Amino acid sequence: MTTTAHKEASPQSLQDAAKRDRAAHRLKAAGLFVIFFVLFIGLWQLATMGYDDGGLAPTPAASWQRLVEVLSGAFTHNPPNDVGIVFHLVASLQRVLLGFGLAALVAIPLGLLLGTNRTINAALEPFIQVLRPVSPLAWLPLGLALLRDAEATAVFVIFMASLWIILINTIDGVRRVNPLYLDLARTLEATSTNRTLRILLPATLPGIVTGLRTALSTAWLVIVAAEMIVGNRGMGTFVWTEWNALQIDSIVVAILIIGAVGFVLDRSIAQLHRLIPKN
Amino acid sequence: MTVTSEATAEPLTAAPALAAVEVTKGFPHRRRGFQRVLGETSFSIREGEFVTIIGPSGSGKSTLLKLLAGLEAPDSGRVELAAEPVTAPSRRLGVVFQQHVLLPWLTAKQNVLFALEAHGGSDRSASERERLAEHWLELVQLSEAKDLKPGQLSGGMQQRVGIARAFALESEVLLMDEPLGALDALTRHTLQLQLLKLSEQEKRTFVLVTHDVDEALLLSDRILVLSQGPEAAVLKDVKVPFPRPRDRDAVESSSDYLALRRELLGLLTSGS
Repeated sequence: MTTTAHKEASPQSLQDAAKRDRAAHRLKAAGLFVIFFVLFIGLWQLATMGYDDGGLAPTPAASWQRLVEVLSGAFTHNPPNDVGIVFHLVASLQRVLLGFGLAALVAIPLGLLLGTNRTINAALEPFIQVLRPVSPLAWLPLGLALLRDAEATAVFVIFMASLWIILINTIDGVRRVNPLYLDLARTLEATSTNRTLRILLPATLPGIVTGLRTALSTAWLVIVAAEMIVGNRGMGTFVWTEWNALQIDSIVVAILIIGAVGFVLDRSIAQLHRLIPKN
Repeated sequence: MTVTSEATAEPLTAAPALAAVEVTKGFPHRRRGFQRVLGETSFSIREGEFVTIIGPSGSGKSTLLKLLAGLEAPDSGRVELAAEPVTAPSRRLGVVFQQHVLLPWLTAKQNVLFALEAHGGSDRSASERERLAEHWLELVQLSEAKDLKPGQLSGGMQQRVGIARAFALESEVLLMDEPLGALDALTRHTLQLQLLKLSEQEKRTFVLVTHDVDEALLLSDRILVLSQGPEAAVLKDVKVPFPRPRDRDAVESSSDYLALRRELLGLLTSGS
């Protein structure tokens, strides 16, 4: 804030000055954004200029044209080969939400149990610590072998990608619960249902929400890779088929769409933070 | 709710309402292996009595209160509630915690209601519980704020909800662990008077832990002074003779007040 101290600074004038400061800050940021954007496109153009006769390297213009094509044919539906981007997107989102939802259903209750029971936690800790660092994609062949179904395998991989993150954050959330809340539950002779649902669960929400948010971002990262291998539809499948057709422009379009949808997903689940009570 | 204005005077029965019998308590210590906080401590509290436990910091006051509440088990000895051993916390032993320990996702009234319902076996109907919660919030002058969440209340108001919650339980004994310790002087002053009024209206047994000598003298019938820890024990049992109902001016201008105050402060500082 660069408000200069006037002799008679009325609250109104101070408020106006603060408002002007904020507006100036936004204007500067927007101006810089435009400059960076132009720079980015320019560098991109420079980097791909020599290749545009060969057709492989995606120039900004060709990518833009492809984006318009992909979006205008977003709803085409002539399977198996000509399917609009919306159907790929929906397929990916379905797998992610299903695998993620199942993981949450398992991980949150399990996390509450492990967070409150030190013995069970110590017994299961080695499993968690060894399985957690494994790339979710490593589960993919196992999923194919056991489930013998590409669709179920994709969901299974997402489940594995989300499970540990939600589990560990829930356990951590339980550990951060004010121990006096549990003393209170004891002095009130709270039933275990009341203790779990009316004290522990709400008190653990910050950890759970963090876990859900991180898990959803990770699931969205993983689904693209998984679909390159198993999917007959999905953003990953789209990327892979376009690569096989040497349509590199499409890859740029796919990256843009995946990024934008990931951003929207994260913003949506971040709304869960509103559930967290402020103390 | 028995709202009598009778003074809590002499014991109604011979059996103590609450007693500590040769209790000791210690904790694992990093270097020494084990550190005893509370040496062998015994005392008994009559029904309807207001007893304050006072002691220098580190004398194990809060530990002692946790033992009385059944939140922790003594290493040896026992705590007795109406001649029965206390082995776990119970609704017969209400606790006002040092921090308010209100559930931040519930309103003031919901916090009190939760205390009435948590054990799942209330013999009151929902509307009776609601009336009871509102009654107690009214007694601590929080009717206006009953639908606010703890985060929207000041520190003093939060602790008043905590007090209303503990009183609403209608337990025989009310244990208070420095309930006003975290408040500013002015708020503490007001709440002391509210506690005084509530404790004189309610026929219950009160145990208060504090480090505030004036608070102890204003509120209690008897003050147990703990010695400096480790291995603290009851150093002295001081009777507070002021007649009830009390008011602060009368108490503080009484001729015994300064002498008692000096005695207590002397005990607290000479403890080690």
